[in-house]
Amino acid sequence: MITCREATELHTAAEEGALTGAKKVFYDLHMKICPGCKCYRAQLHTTVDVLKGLPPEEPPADLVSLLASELDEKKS
Amino acid sequence: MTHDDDRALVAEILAGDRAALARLVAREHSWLVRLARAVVRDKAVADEVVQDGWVAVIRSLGSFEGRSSLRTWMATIVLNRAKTAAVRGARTIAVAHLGSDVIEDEDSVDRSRFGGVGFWAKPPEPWENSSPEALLHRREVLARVDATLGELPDAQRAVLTLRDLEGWSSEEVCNALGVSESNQRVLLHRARAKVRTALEELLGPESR
Ligand SMILES: [Zn+2]
Repeated sequence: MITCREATELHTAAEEGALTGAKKVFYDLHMKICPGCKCYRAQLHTTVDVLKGLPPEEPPADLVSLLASELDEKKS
Repeated sequence: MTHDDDRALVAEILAGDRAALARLVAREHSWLVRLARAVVRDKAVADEVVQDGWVAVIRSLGSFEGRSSLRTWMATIVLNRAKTAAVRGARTIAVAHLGSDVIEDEDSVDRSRFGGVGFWAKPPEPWENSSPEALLHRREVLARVDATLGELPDAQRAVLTLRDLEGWSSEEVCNALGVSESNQRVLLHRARAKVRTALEELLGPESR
């Protein structure tokens, strides 16, 4: 068996397919029966979804033309 | 993204195709900014690093051989610039050893939440109205996430940024930052756990 405290350290490893052997078996079993850890894992997923939903940084409007002129200079 | 695609794009840009250049900028600018901010911290300096980095990338585009991905190659250029800027600003940064940082013991969840044998004493409680879409519309959520990202150690912030904000694969992140697969995973998990804790402070039962 693994404890809840141990399980909280394993969620990312589990998701990335890095758990093997007995550790994986115990983790999977723990996640089937422990409501607290299920809730914790769901909150981690929500956290990741929020991070993924943050809007990207937009390039400044003049960046492409600045870089284009850099290219032209290099050629001439 | 295969290296062949990268090489083709680079060839188009070098041939003077401005649309290809615009595509490259649109595709790669966001992570450059976020990575620079993760390691330089000062926003104005980071933006300068990114602009200088772009110019350096374009100037040396002819020497890109496609042995690594374009992203790995660009990350090296920009991290070097970031390092120089940090030295100028007298901030000692972990860029040089993002990959060799000792991974110290750190708990994802405060120990006081567990009983003596390691099972939940104070388990997390479901958050109300917590669809990611709803959360992304709440100003205090965005502010808290932003503040928490700012408090993360450099390596954790860099990994979290590339993996979750930018959606890179773990392989891409390992190559760009020079960290091992297992360290990448630990850094990612700790960073995610800290952002979760910050959200819990905002959304959990004790905030109601
Ligand atoms: Zn549990």
